[in-house]
Amino acid sequence: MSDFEREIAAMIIEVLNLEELSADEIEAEAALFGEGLALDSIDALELSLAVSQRYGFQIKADDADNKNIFSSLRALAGHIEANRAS
Amino acid sequence: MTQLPLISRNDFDKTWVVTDEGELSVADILFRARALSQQLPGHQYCLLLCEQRVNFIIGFLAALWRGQTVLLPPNRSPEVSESLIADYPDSFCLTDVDKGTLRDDRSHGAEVILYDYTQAESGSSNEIPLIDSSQLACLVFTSGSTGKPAANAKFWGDLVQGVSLMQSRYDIGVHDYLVATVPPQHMYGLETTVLLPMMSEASVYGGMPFYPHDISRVLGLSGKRASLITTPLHLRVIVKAEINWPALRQVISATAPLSQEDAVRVEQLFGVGLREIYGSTESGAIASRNTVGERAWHLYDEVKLLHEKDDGGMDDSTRVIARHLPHQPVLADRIESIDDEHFLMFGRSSDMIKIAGKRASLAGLNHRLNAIAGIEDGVFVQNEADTGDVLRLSVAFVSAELSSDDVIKALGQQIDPVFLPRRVLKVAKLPRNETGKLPHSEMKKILE
Repeated sequence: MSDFEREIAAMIIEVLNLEELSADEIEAEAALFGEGLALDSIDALELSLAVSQRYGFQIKADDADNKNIFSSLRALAGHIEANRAS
Repeated sequence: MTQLPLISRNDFDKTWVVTDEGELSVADILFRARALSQQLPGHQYCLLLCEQRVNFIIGFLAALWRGQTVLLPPNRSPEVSESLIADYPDSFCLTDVDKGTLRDDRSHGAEVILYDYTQAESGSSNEIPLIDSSQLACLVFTSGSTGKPAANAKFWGDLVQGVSLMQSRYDIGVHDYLVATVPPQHMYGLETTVLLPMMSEASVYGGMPFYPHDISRVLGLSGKRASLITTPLHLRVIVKAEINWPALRQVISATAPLSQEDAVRVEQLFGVGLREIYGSTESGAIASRNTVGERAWHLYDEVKLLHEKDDGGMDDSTRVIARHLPHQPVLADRIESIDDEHFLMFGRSSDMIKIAGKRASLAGLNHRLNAIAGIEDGVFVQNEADTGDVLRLSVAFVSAELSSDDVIKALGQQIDPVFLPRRVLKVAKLPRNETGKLPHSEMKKILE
């Protein structure tokens, strides 16, 4: 897991109050929704807000790869890294 | 037999649906609805799964036109769809998403019709059919955790009557452009974004924006000031999102009560009034309040409440009395009437919980948990909501062989994702007292 992925994992844990997890326990390639962490659309909304506040860009549904943004920690970290304002 | 027109608007050349591709007039929608109604398979039930509101609206009109009953599932998971198809064998499925609707091996042979209005023939029509008031227009399902989704029958005449009460309360009409973050399959979304524009001259956005950025863009798509139809969940995120918002006409919220503080923040952000709707799947919308400064809910005209005691003289239950609700549905909330027109609402009665507009009983969830092979004992617990946060559930369980992951996986196959526990704790035993009950204080200690 890269340092940035670990940073995003820590954000997910903090934003969604998954306090019994540690960043290293979120597998980079495992699904965030459904299986894996079993997150849902409410969580996607909370995470989108945290992303805009911390990384300065808005997640949009019309991003071509929207369905994939939250598919895994690695995908989310990659999307943020590619779009972050700073 | 009384008949009522499919739509009560005749502004044929005016916009009904606004989409990212352009605007569809009333005549455009009528043409497509008639064409689709002629292409639908000849079954009694139409399981309507369309995600795009524009496709849903056309599908809903087409099925009514054809004399069919629309099945509205609590969510679009294949498990729910398959269970409805199994219970209503004379069904087909109408969707705009080309995969994941039904799994081949469990589709019970049901036909899946794919509909996308952009691919359909275009044209215009002024034909408005008459629909029997007694036609069973739709069955709206609640995501009962106690087993199968529970059906709520809606007859055409009653739907029209219920929406006319809503329309007179909100004065929705030609000046309105409605944008909603709620799905049309949910009773709140169905009434506000499908039925209301059928019965008024309002226009509506044909999709369902989700992220704040998308909501803001869509609100500005029409020349008219938009009314935002949403939920406390979305509003909490919207007030925190630091983006520019277009001028609105009003904000409408439902599915769970909004706090005074949140309501004030919303009104400050948009500079317009916020109105909450109170209702349930069983009753539809029956009351509203202007949340800033008003605690009490104001019943719609011609709607009354009737309070009843149970056999032990305990636990008030509240029935809704209205001409369009002949079955007099019981509300799941604790209600206290102030006078004939106003009431206060104090959350769920019994063990019902509500997350993201979906309801389940804790007893039902516990039943499912304990039915998982390998679980010796288990219980769902409501998290104490810290700061008006979204209610979430935790699970504590006893098992020799199962891990927390196994339990989440097993639950995930049976219950709606919003009810999946955030925390799953494996424990040696649950702190049951002599009567087998789990004192809340003991459970709290375990979960801390």
